[in-house]
Amino acid sequence: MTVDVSTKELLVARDGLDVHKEKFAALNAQVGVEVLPLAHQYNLRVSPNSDSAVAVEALLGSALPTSPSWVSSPAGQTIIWLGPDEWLIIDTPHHTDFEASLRDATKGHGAVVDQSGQRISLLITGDAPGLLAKGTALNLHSTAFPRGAALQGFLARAVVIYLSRSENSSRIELVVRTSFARYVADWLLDAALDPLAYPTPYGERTCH
Amino acid sequence: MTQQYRTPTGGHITRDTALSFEFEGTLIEGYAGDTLASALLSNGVHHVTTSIKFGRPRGIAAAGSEDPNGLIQITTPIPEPMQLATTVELAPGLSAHGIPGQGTLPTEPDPARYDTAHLHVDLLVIGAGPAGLNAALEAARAGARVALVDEQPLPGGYLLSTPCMIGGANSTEWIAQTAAELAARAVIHLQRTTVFGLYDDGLALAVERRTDHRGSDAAPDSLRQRIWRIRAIRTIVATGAHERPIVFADNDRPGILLAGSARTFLNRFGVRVGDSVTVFTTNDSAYSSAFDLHDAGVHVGAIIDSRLVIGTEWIEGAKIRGIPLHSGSVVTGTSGDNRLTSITLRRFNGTSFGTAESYEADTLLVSGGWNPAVHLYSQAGGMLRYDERLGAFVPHREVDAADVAASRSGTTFVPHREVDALRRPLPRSHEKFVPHTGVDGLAIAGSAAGKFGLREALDSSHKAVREALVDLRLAHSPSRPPEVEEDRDHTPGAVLWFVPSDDPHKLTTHFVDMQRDATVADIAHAISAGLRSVEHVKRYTTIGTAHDQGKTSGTVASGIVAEISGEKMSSLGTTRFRPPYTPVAFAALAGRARGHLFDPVRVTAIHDWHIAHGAEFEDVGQWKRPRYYPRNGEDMHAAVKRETIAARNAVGILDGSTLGKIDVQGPDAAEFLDRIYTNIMSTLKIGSIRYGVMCGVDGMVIDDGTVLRTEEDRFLVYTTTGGAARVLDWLEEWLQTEWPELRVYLSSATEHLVTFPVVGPRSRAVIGELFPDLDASNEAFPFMTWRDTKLANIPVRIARVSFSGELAYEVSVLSWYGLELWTRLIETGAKHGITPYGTEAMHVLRAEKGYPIVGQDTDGTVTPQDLGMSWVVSKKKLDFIGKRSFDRAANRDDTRRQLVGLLPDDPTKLIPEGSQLVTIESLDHATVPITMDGFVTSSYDSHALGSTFALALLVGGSTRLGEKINAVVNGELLPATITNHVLFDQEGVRRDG
Repeated sequence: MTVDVSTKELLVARDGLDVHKEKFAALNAQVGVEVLPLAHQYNLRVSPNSDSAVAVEALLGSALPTSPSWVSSPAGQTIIWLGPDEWLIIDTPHHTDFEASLRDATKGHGAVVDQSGQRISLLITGDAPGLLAKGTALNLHSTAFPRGAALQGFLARAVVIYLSRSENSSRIELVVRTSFARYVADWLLDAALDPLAYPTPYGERTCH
Repeated sequence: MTQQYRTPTGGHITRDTALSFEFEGTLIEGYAGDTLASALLSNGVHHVTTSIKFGRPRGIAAAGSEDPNGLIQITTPIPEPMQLATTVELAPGLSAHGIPGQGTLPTEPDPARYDTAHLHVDLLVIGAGPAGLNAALEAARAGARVALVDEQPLPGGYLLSTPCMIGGANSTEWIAQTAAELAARAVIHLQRTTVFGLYDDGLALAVERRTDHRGSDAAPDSLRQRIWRIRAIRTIVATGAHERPIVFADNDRPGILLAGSARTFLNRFGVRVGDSVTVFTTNDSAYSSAFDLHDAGVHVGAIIDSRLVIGTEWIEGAKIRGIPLHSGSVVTGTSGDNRLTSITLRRFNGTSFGTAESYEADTLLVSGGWNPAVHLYSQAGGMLRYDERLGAFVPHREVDAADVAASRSGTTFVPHREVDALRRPLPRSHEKFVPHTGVDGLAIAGSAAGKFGLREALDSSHKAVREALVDLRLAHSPSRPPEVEEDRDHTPGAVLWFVPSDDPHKLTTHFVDMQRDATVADIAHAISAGLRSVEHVKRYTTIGTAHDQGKTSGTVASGIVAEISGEKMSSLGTTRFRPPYTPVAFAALAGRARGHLFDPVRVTAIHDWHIAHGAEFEDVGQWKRPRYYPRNGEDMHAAVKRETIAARNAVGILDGSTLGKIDVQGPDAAEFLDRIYTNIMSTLKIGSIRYGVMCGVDGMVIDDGTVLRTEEDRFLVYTTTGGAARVLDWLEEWLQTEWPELRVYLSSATEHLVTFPVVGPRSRAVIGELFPDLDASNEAFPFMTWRDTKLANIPVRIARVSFSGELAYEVSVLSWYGLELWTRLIETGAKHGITPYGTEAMHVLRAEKGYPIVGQDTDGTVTPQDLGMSWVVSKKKLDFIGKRSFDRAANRDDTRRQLVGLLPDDPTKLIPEGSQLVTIESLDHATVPITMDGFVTSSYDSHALGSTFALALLVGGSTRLGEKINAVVNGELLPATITNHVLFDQEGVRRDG
């Protein structure tokens, strides 16, 4: 561990999942797990239908979702409904001064908290419901979890946010608390060792 | 052995795959498709074990999971106790032996894997007999998402035992066609999967056995079992029926088994259960077993029927085959040792017996009628009633006022919970869709519903599917249940629980629950002892408490209680059905939650550094925290000593990232915190920090930590590591339920930031060097303030707080950069002797200063005043949580336990934490109970003090400083001096460096 003590040198951002990334890369083709790059994210608390909410929506260029779901802002931010007055905004493109602008929009009538270090995202691809059904009681099948849905619940014994990133449930993003990330990653690797929870054509209504 | 009892053809076994297995040390052969029981019977082995209490020989008494007798221990390939010979599939490498009611848990580790799977479906069908197969097929054709779950290796249920024509095909073909269509329609069809629990709201738990049938061919670490957690909008229970025995003298000998089971062994496994068979029945169904066996070449010596009136077709059938038929007769005794040799029968008119007659027989088939397998249905809340004709508890039919009234008058058995449910007006959906069960979404069909005939079973399944489809808003397909021949052997027979005598107390070989060696005499004694409730009788006699949960003995026991006590069966009811339906291994329930996945392990951003530097870890909640960093073979004592010396004399560094952090924001944030903490937070200036204590409404300490005011309307609250989630919930609860008018928002920031206290007289030098933009001097950066600075353009916050009494700077940064910051602090501090220290050294340092740990030095009964912190309780604030309790006399009592320090007379002796403190001088002649003055909460060896020391909660402690007290340690008294709880640097001169 040799680091130049010079304060001039940039600090390296780390997600602590390097070992897991190698193991994820070695998974067979049925499911894939990808550690998404670290992203700035903010917890937004604001009363819906308030002036502050309107100001936030103007800033984002997008309505705040009002049901368990996520939307994408024109600038590429993911806005996730967490509760009646709570959203998580993942600012993947990392806009300069975004937090300050957000704070201005809510000034005095809400709260903005930088939670960038609080969570990390893992993207499950392929037969994602077949893998995740081993650890969650939530129905992640595409009929119940279409693109745009966002749910919160347990995966095994960790609370995660599930984002449906595709129509057919083949891309599900898990937003995981940082301190639980290795547990979740270990769990995913272990779960992937065994056959998936159900075969791919599961539950397609065959006639109607 | 030679499988001399195997039929030449037939059965659902694979005759070209012979399998050798070992039983009781003997090598035996069977076929793929056999159970261990059918393979043993094919070789003439009935006797498999001895009974638990009396050591009586016991054999195979049934063909499935209802067998009360045939418990075995599997020794290879996967050791497992308490398995049933009738449900263990023959597999390569199998060896087993019988066990007398108790097995032995294997001691070797289990390499197999276990899994869980959640499944969501429109319709769950439990049981793949004719009713279940038909239900699944009709629902799938209508477009429903269906799961079909069955405990047997093969679908078909009792059709496998009773071949017939169905839907224009023979039953084997019909089963295959149906299964193929189910697969084509993407039905989740799970065989070898037992639904063992059915719960409210359509939740079913099932265990799938995936590899045991492959025996040693399966890799030892393959996925052996999976727990399915199935949520269904509708559930159809089609679990079939269990045959009921009749209880008579010596009814437990090997060779005595249920009649329908003998038919199963013959038709499904191609096994004749004996050479010379007699039949004892109360109903028609046993005749088919007798005739099938006769037609397969078995000598059927006699049919003994308790009824006087018997259908002509059965009389004719027996006559044609030359089988003597004894009507109005019962079996009154048997002979034989390890196998039945003869039976005795007498005419019996319900009160008196005729003369005895004997038959030589190696096998006796018994049928007392059939019990619908209502276990799962009842678990889920389905109502039962006693059917006099069937002598069985069957699903309650129409839900209406008349039935409720009947249940109150005692003629219908309805569990109380269901009666209560009925008193409420039913929701509309019930009126429309659920006339059957009174439980939302639950239906029951086939023989499980008491519909024993194949045609009526299929009709009931059709009806249940139609209701389900309406509920699911799916159009019913035009499909009808398949056409079947009339079958009549299900006509209800006589109800005979046991063959009586003058005094039931003497019926000591009338076995009711063979696994428990419990007899009619035991029930008679229970009733003589005044017991009437079947639940009480069950517990007095242990009937129904074995592995089989009374599948064959439960109803019979109720019947015997009714008969002996004179109570009505309908008012006695049956014992409650509870999960699991069949035993489930804990390993399966644990799934992958074992080993390192047993519970989440939470780690900080620099966990790998701790590992690389040899840290020993301590569990704090779910966190792994370094406890100490041993060097060069140090033990904990040596390492902790070195680490505390560094922190007191040079500089140490701790990973404090696990501390809880809560962002409190909003115009009323200061007011909110004033109400939460015992001290004032609203007067805190931006840039400053205050230590605070939170109490419950009872005035007892629940958490403590520092509060940073970051903006006019914004605070950062630090909580204890273990209290983080609890405190956030506590704050939210007050905010949402009591003070919704406060404009405050709470957000967790625990993992957003890492926090590293840099502690010791040289800490200022380290901080000053790494953060040149920051003036770390005492004047510019005083104690209990925070400053923002940057490291390589990344914002860093530094707070001057101290949990050690030393000059200290707590450095925080976005957790992404945690490892970078930590390593730069270590590198910068190297020349100052910076030493990473763990939680153990942290504890020593804080205890020397008398700082309590909430949860270690407190236990929910300790006030701030007890901790010597009256100063932290505001006397100015109008109110805060706990304030009112501080006015209670009990809270002001001088004799409360108070935190003190203890210095042992012998500075080398450590008083163990938890030790009791007493004033007596000797334990030798002490009168008990000895007055306990308090107990030790923390105890360490201190280099700074040159002595061991302890913190303790002591009665009236604050007034006893300087007195002596004795700690009781392993029966010895260890004398110590009571001191102020602050033992080191009482003046606090060190914190500013």
